Amino acid sequence: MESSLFIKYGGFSRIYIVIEKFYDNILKSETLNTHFKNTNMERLIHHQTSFISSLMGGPDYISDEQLAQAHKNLGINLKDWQEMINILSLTFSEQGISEDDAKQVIAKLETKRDFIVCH
Amino acid sequence: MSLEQNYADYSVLNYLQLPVVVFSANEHKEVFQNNSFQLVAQHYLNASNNPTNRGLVQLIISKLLEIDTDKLEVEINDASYRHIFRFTANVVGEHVIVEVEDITELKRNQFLFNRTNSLLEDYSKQMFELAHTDQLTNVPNRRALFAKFSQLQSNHKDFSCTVSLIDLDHFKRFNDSFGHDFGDQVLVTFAKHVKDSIDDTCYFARLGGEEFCLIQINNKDTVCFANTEKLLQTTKTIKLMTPDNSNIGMSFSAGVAVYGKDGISLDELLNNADKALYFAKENGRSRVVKFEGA
Repeated sequence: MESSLFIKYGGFSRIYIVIEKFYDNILKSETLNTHFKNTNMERLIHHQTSFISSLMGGPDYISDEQLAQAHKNLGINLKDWQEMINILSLTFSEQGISEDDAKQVIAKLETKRDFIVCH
Repeated sequence: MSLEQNYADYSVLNYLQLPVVVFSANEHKEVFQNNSFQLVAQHYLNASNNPTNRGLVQLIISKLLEIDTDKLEVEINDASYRHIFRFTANVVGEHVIVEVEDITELKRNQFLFNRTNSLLEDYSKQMFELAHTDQLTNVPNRRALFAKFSQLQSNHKDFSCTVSLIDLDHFKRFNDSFGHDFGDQVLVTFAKHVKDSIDDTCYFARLGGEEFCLIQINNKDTVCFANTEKLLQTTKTIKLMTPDNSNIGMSFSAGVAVYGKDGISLDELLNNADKALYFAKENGRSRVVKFEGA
């Protein structure tokens, strides 16, 4: 099996915890928490764990088209995006993901920005 | 007995530290006659004078306004707290018991189980593919050929086939003269040519080295033989560019055995096809020869 960050950081079970902490931090952010009113966080954590896992070299999860479809009515702007990236970096650091590995995942996430941010 | 009194009597489940509220069905027929959890929960709200539970119950009520069910999962979250509860209403004799469980961990484990399980299934499929595919030419390998033959034989009542054992001519010379990379290119080119030439009544596999097998299913022997002959003719039109920039052609020799007449098992058919193949090689190569028996 090819070595990947997904394997290195313990697969779904470990990444799930990172994503839970990420959303704890998101909900503390006044810029972002308004996006999550009435959101089923459990379902969101499931999606996001699968999505971030795929960016870390885990199994494929969602196509760019599906990603764009899922975010098209959410009104996410560039300021929200940057705040989310900052919070994800912070969470990665808190959760023991090395700086280099975190940068690698965030660089992959940046390639998905146009499918998530509203223009 | 009032609902307030009932509330005062509720017991606390130790493992969850959440209440199980027991209502008297006799005392509150208007609530329980239709066994509606929505109404039960409404009374629970009325009875709930414990401020720590009120927010939770209010949320449940707001959700229950949309649906009427005896089971409901509710997620409660803010920046420092995220839990999922399952509320279940059960009628037990004259009572309706509303049970509350914290299923946060259960939901997490269900997700992990499902994802890990699907991951294992994917890896299992990949492993199966790897075990049954020739990595160089990307056609089925010997293991896959035997499995397919066995499957065809047991699934088709009137199964018949011909087995062509194909050996590329002068393959050693390609390898020795132009290197193994060129030899690999010859194998890949030939395999692709055959795949592009056959339809789904055929099954093509690499047995190893420069040896391949083509099974043609449920067709007349003469047609199968002619098909293998035609494959030889089209193969001979292929031109490969060698590392020293000259063009070189390829051909093969084949031995053909017929299911039933020349054997029943694949081992037997391959063995007899190999005898015919030997004859083809001994008589100048680049030809297809039928097995004619001892």
